[in-house]
Amino acid sequence: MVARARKNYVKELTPQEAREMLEQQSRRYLGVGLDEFVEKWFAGEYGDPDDNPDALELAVLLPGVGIDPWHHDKPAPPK
Amino acid sequence: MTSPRRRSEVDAEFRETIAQMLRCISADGLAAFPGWQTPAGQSRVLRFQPVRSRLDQVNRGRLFLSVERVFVLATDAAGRPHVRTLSYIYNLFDAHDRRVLGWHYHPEGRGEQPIPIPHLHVYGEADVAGRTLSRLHLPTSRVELETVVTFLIEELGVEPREQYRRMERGEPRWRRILRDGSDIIARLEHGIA
Repeated sequence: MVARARKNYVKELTPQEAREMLEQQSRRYLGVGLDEFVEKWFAGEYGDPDDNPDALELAVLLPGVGIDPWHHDKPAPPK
Repeated sequence: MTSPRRRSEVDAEFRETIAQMLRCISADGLAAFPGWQTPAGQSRVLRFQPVRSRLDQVNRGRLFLSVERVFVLATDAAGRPHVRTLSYIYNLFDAHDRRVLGWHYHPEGRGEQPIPIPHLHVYGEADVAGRTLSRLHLPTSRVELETVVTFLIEELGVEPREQYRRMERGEPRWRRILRDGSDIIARLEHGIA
């Protein structure tokens, strides 16, 4: 017989709380605010994530602020 | 047709099971929040504290752990909800907050050559056939969180929290929680109610 998990150990965050958590992580480990991180991530400024695993770790959480870290539509460069 | 309640039950059972397994080694809580809309449904994100969680070792050393898991509640042809893991990252840091090991699965990746398979990073500078060890993606099968927690306890001497060290039916409580958790997660991922 497998026991079922009945406890309540998980805090459900509001979108605002999730953003604050990611903001905290971005400032602590990458030294920039979340918006700046997102800009740099999609601009490819972090290069190969293996060279900057802190960036990868944060990027994987971007769904929490409604951003798909792998398929972001970057605005087309001005002609 | 699946009722919304059943989906929410699967969601709650999955995340509480993950949380319960982590509580064997840390009092830090798990946070959950909605992710982006995928073709299979709304993704969910689980995060084990924004600041890496401290683990105490039996020899009074310490390690730090971060856990991230993104999943979606998908529905099979029979309308049964099940969990599909989209990505995971489990990272281990030493007492000086330096990376030691990283178990990763993020199949979409970024750049020219995403790594579609689960892999392990060993953060060392050894030369392996002209490549730096830490940059290699050592292939693994999918690594479940409970196997990482077991490895931390049994091989790296991470001390289970006191209430989880108690013996129950001939084994420490943490071991039963991890084993039951493993069974629950396998069931939820295969849509077995």
